[in-house]
Amino acid sequence: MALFIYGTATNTGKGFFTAEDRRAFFLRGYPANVWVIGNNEKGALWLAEKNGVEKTKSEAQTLVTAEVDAAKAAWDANNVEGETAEQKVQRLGPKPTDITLP
Amino acid sequence: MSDYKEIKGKTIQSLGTDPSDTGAEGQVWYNSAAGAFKSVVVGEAWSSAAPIISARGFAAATGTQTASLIAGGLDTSSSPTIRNKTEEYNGSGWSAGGNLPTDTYGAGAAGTQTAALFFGGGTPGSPAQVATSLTYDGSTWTATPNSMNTARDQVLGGGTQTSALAVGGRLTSPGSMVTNFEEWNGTSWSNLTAISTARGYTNANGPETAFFIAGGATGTNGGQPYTSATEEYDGTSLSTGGNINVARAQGGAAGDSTAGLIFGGRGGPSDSNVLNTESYDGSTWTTSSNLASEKRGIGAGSGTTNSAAIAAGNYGPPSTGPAEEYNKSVNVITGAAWASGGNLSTGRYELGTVGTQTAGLAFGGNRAVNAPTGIRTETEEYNGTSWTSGGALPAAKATQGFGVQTAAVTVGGTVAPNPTAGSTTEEYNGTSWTSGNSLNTATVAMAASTGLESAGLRAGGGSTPASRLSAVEEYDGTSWASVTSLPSTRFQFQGTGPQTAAFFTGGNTAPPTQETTDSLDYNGSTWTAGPTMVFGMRLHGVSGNSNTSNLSFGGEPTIPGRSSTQSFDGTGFVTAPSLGTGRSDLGGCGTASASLAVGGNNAPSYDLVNTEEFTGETSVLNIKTLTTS
Repeated sequence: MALFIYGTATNTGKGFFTAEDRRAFFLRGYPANVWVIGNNEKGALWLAEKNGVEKTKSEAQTLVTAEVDAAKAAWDANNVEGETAEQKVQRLGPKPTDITLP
Repeated sequence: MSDYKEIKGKTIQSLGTDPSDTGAEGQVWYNSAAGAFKSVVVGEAWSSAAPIISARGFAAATGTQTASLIAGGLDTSSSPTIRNKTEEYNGSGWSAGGNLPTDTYGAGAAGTQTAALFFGGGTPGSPAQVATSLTYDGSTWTATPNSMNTARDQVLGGGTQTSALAVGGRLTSPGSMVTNFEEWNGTSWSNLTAISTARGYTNANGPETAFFIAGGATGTNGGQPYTSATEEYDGTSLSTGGNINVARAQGGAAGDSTAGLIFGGRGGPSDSNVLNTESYDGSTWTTSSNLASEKRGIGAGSGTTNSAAIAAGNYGPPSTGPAEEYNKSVNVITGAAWASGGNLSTGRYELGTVGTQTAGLAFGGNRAVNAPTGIRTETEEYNGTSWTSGGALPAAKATQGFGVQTAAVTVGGTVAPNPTAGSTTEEYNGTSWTSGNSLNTATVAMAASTGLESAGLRAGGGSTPASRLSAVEEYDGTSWASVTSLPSTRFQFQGTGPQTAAFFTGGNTAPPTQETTDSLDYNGSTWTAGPTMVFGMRLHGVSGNSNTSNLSFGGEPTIPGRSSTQSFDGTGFVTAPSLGTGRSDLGGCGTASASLAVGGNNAPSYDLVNTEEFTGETSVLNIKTLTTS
């Protein structure tokens, strides 16, 4: 049995995941509204109740990678005339790095 | 006819309110206010605990629920990696212990957190299986002069550092299980009468005089068939015990042959990871509450009773680090956890946050990607459910601050043109911001700040995002005064507590940009070094209202990542449950048991609108109303 369920769901704020949910199953959020969820009954119910869309691991990874790539491109394109590379990092923070889902 | 007092030794009472002490076990009372008879019921349940720092399975485990030890293991989360890490649990969280001299998995362990024995296991060498044994003194592993008679891994055991047992296991080739049973007397290993069923990965625990061996794998390399057989050892001879209900291996064990507990592992009719827990009374195994999540390869021995155990880590694959505590108690224990809070209207990072979980204030900040980008003026107020707009800052800034929702102060911060260090401060009265007196030393949004509007504190920061400061200033409600500087320049750290009993965690003290594990105390005049954090943090959030209570979360710890949390109880740091969404450059406020994490940056999701609320562990009596149905 796979350890995780993968899906997308929009974090609507208060009540989106509760402390009880966190105690009942693994849950971690990633870019592109991707969630990695512990593969048990309560985890599966949570994704369905949040109107989430289940994805394969490959599909979820593709969504995350696309967002990372878009952010890298935006970071590369965000320049101020005369700014050094160090100053750019100070202004924007480091360039986004690849994310691998568990 | 017997009455209740003759049976239980306690009279039925009439009380105005329910009792709150554990002495109420077995008590029946009439609650005159509720008009109902009530009693305290013993419950059996697993609750979530702080995850281990380094995800893995097949670590050796020993100790008790509140003083547990794991060492070595196998991490399959990326590519299979054998570990040498030791971690210690204090009932709240995990901290790093001394590393094993060799990467080892599938070893056995006995003893306590400060006097442990580690034996056998698999290593990266050839042959992989070893017979060596080690002792642990709470900080360092030392090889014993004498080794086991038979090298093997997936061996289990129990006992103490000077009186231990090693049972079963797996040989190198062809990966077959063994019946070997060895005894350690503090100096050397000797063979005992072999167990009747060859098995490895078994669930075994107990002292030499009350040891049990339940289940295990009998097939080559640890697969099926799994046995349900139990054997007991009383210090002299082996005997047959009751069969477990779900034949399995690779699980955990606690207690002894008169009061045992096994949990998790792999097995059952479908040869899959199982959640089942079983409790033993010396003759019969009884089903108890299931684990919440899979725990495969968790070793034996993390609990010396069948009423309090801990299960930590999971082989997977992939390997993960969640932990759970088992309690058979008159108390209902609810584990600490982060839950989602209300979303901000304006997502941002480098924002100021003050107040409590139900009366928070977020102001200023920075936006990198989502329009409008740049430093911000927005203020938002939180009521525990949702955020509403407050008065905007007079000028955009990314800043820190201190105070409460209705009396807050900003501390300089990054101003236009971004990233210029600012010295301006502002005061908030619950409705609008007014200009205050300026700092003596300007800083970008990387200073630490804590305290109240009438007695605040600012420490360190940066004259640029690359140049650290050691300046410290106190605020008296009107003006700023320079006081004793930090021991060294520092930024990207965070503070909690009042001006005269403040506590600071993490930060960055020297290039290259790495996080420190430092903590610092400030008593109003002097800085002193505090305990070392479990792992370094910078650009994190904090909550807490004293120098003996702190929760640090998120930020940029290289390991274990942006969702990590650690807590401080006045003595030391331990890990705590993780955030749902990792983030750095976030806001944090509240207390260590009722915290609020606000916004932040989880690149490539820079401008997070999400917030999370932390609730600490609670314990209350398991009171039930008695009915006739």
